[in-house]
Amino acid sequence: MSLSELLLFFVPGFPLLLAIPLLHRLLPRAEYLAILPAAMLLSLPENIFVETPWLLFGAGLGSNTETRLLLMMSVVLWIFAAFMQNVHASRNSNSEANNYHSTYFFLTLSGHLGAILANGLVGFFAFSTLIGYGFYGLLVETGNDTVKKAGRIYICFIIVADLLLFEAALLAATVTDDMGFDAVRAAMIDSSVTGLYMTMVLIGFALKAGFWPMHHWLFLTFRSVRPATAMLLAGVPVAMALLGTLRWLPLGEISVPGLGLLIQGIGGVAIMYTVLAVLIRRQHNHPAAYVTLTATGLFVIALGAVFIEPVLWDLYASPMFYAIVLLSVGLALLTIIIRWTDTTASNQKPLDTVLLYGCWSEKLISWGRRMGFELLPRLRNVFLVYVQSLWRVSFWQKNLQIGEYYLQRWSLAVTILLLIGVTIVTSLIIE
Amino acid sequence: MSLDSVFPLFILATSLVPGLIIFFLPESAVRTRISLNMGGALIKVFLVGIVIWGVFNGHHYETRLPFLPGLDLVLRIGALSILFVTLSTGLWLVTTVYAIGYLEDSPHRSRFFGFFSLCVTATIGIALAGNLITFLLFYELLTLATYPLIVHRGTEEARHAGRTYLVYTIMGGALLLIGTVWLYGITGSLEFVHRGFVSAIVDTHRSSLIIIFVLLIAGLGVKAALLPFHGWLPQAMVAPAPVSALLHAVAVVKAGAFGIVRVVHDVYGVEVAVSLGVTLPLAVLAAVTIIYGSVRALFQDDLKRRLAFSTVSQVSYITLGIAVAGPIATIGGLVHLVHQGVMKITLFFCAGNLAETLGIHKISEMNGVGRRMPWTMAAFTIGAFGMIGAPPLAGFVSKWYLGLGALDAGQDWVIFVLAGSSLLNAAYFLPVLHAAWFKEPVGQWPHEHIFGRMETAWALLLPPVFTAFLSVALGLFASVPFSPLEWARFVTSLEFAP
Repeated sequence: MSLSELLLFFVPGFPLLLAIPLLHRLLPRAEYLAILPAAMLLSLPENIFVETPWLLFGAGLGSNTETRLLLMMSVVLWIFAAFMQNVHASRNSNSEANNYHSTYFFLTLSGHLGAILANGLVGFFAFSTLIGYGFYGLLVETGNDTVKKAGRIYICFIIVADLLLFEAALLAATVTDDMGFDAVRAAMIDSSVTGLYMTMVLIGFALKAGFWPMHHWLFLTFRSVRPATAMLLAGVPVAMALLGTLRWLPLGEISVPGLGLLIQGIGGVAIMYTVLAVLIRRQHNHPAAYVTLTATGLFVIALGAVFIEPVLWDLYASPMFYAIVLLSVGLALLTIIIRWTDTTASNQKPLDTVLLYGCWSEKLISWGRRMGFELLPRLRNVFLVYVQSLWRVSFWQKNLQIGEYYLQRWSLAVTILLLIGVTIVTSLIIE
Repeated sequence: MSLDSVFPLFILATSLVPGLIIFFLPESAVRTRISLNMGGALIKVFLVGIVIWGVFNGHHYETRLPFLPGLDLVLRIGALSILFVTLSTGLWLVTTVYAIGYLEDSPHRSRFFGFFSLCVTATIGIALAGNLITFLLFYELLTLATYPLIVHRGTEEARHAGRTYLVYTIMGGALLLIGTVWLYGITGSLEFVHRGFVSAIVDTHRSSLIIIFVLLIAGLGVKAALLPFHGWLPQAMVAPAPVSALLHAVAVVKAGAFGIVRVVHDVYGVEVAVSLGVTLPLAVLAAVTIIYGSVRALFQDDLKRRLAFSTVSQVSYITLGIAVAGPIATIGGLVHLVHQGVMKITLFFCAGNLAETLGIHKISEMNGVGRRMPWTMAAFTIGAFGMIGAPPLAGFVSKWYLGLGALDAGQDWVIFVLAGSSLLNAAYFLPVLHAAWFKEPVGQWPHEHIFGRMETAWALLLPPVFTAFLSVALGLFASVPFSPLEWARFVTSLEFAP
């Protein structure tokens, strides 16, 4: 293995090592040092690819022109984030909190760089999972209650998204042994599972990117987290989810008009929602979130167009790719400017959008009451009491505990019955 | 008698002989006891290393001792047995280090370590058994050797857990015995053979073979904690942490799961089992156990109890992989035998550390414990993520092969079980991690012990850190030669080769 190939492993590997508190405490300016291998890789003139059949089902790493551009964007983004992180750390006397924040910082950085360099589904999936949990740590470690609520929604989305992407990767593995992006795209052309695969990939990355209508956590986090984290929000989880859709989907290879129209519709609604939200000024203080939502809406519309007319991919491929880079850099700049000009950001009252998740049933009931569904109030009350009890953990705990008690008795009964049964059958056979 | 024919006996003796000597040692002979324990464990690791090399190079290790007319006690080292022997031997060494630290000032250490060694001897015997009668004898020995470990603390709760364990396992043993005798009656053989030894009588004894299968699986299902025979496992949590590790990762539940593999592969053979129609009900039972165990784990505040229900769920992955009856799912099931052991032992070591160092037994007491014990909780985090199936950890590899195997075998429903279980795993592990890393501690810890600058004693800290590292390595380097995954592939190729 040549030195440049080794460097390729160091790009995500070095920040991952630095995530160990003992190591990043030892090294001065560890946040900047962690980005150094990526910067060094950019300085190499040639493209590098490494196939590693012994590592995680042959997950390879590589850099080409596109990758280098993304890597460049990442290096700039993370240098700014490291700078802001250090500024914040110097103001914050709680060294332990800073220490753990740094751990999540390095984990997210490692996941980000690894996802950019990943050559195949499994590698990308592994690094994107690392981004998800690392970023959750960044959100929750120092965030206020609003961010913690957003973090809870985000982590739920991440779990479901990872599950869907895992299933999608499994589907891909049933049609090809090679899990490289190109091989999977080629294998999906004639496969019977393509539709299911594409749907899973789309929903999975939509959850990760905070597409409309799964966008509420974006609004909450953009305003309330540390500046460094807010800056990374668009550049890391959102951008990497968009990159994932481009890399995982067999774009330009097959035509899926139904799915294309559907996601174009969703993209259109997302943009309309954003425009309406701006016009009625309900959430007027979230420009970065609006830009993200609009950009992802446009991205989805373009994606839908490629699904309908695959030849458009030749036209759209580069712009969509540059859109990811621009979105990351642009939003990072926007976040910095907003934070600079608005010092009262952290004192904003938390939005109640999250609470909508918790009180949907009450909303539904009050809506029903307004619409005049009061025909069977007593029955409805009984039903509501039952439904509410279903939501309580203690209800299930109690029932399962009783079930367990009977199961224990039952296991003895089953054993005795089996013994009796065996004796009868044996005697019958002997006869 | 050649060296190859006594090698299995040597492997057994490395834990049996130290164990028997330890029984007679006075409590004060700490150094002798540690030397015997560690010496035996290290020699066993060395011998197993030689055996792996030997089997790979075509050596045939078999010990045959006369037992009853027409029945020998057979110890044979094959590809499948090596998988289990390596797991038990490796984890025994780690658990011994941990147990030495954990029981440093406890009473009755000679008794504990004596039975501990006997327990491992029984497990190795189960792994090496070349026929069903040898398997049965060591299976019963395991029951008897484990009981004193469960009741070691001598409390009323421990004695109750021990009684429950005995009732369950003795009944399980009885069912296994009936099945074995009946099988011998109709086949005249109990020898483990690739692809089974009952194919000649399938047409003439179809009903009997189905009933025997049910008896054998019910008998083994008790130790494998299959629903509804799992009740003893959560109760056995009163035992000390090294015993829990032994029960959940090294010996008992693994013995049950391994027995199921033996019955399906080497007694019936996959083809015969499928033709009898017994694999699908077994797969459904495993699936129900997986979901049930996860749901029950979700509601437990006691950390070890939550981990116990997690074991109920996770061990059934092995059964599910075998019952899906395809080559890829079998790889998934077999590799999970090893991977689950490594990840679960990490979690139990960490739970033991929390209890010993801070007196923490409940999840509700774990707020902010990550700051106080970062290495322990980092190991716990890796183990938990491994259980969820996050890449690139060992659990991911198992779930990947199980899922792929299910699709390959046309049993798509298994995917929903795996997905549901993964969601539930996340639901019961992530709140623990959140509390440990992100919540503020609530005042004093229940019973804090200070170990100088260390978060806990070295002997307690090194084992979970090592096994956590192993959980990462087993996933990341799954495709390296001699890895558990590659060995599972090798075993499966013997069973499914055309």
